[in-house]
Amino acid sequence: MSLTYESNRKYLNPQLTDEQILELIQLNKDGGFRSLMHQFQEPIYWHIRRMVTLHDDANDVVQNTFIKVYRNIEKFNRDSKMYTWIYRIATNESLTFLNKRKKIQTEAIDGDEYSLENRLSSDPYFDGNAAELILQKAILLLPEKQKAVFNLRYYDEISYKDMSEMLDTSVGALKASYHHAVKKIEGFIKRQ
Amino acid sequence: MRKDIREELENIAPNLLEIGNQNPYRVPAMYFENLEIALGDESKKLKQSIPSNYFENLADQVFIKAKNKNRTRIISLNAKRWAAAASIAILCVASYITMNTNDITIDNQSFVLDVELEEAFDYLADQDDLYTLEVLEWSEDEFFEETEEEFYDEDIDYLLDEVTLDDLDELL
Repeated sequence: MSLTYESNRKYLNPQLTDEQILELIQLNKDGGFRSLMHQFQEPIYWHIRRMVTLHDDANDVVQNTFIKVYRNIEKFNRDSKMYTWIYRIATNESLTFLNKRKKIQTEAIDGDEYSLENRLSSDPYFDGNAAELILQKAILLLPEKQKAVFNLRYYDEISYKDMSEMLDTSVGALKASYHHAVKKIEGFIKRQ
Repeated sequence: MRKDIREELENIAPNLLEIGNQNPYRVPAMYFENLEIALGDESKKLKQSIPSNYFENLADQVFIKAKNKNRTRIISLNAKRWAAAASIAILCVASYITMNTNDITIDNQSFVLDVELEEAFDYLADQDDLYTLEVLEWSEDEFFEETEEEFYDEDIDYLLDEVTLDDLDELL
């Protein structure tokens, strides 16, 4: 496939390979980057949304993620998969955001004002049924990194090998983390 | 759900397995595929999940911010607090290094950090020991207030580039 850049939207093909995206970026950084975003923005958005829960927060983190991708795309190591690289950035940005939010919650006098559990129950953007709401509440109680591991495996169905690349953690540690998360969630569901 | 993931859950989490792994935040079916032409009924459903044209405009928003000459993360400080802030940065990153020596490469002449100040702070925020909590409180309460001067990520990077291992030894 010979690629030339003609317009911002012409090559918004959702099935481009990493090499094709990089070739487009070399030809025209902005145009190629649009192709990259088109390819990855939805899975990345959903990964971040499951991490931070609320759309407005996810929107901020998604933007920060792709800003980092844009600024660092030249440093991308072609030996790894582009999607694991972007997921890694997205996960780190999500964890950074969650740490900041945790600090705000800790400092707040009235913690309920910020309680995600309460906000989730009345969130008009949440489409889940009662059982899914319980599951989301259980996930909210997990430590942040464990939450990332659980979401990546359970929802995104990512292999431990790719997850290991994303999170820079051994496969064994990821399996243990996922197992612990599953046990905690199962216990929470049983108690409801 | 994929077979191997299902098998992982069968014995240890039957209730979780029963709920399934569909995305509760999902948008209407085929929304993303048809975003550019999504109108009518689908757009009404869309408003309940994600602002209209969200994905269409996301790239433009990122471009504007990514190309902004001023970096997005700015810490405002007055001139007198520059040196203090740099010291805090060094302290924080030094603490980070000592706790993550496997992750960061240090050579004899200078240390090269692939870690941002913010990440160091975030790392420290996860720590429970008194020392790191004190560093955090000190940095946030005393110095990182809104004042006249702007202090960029690059400035911290520059200061850190100037730091030698001997400097670190003195601080630790």
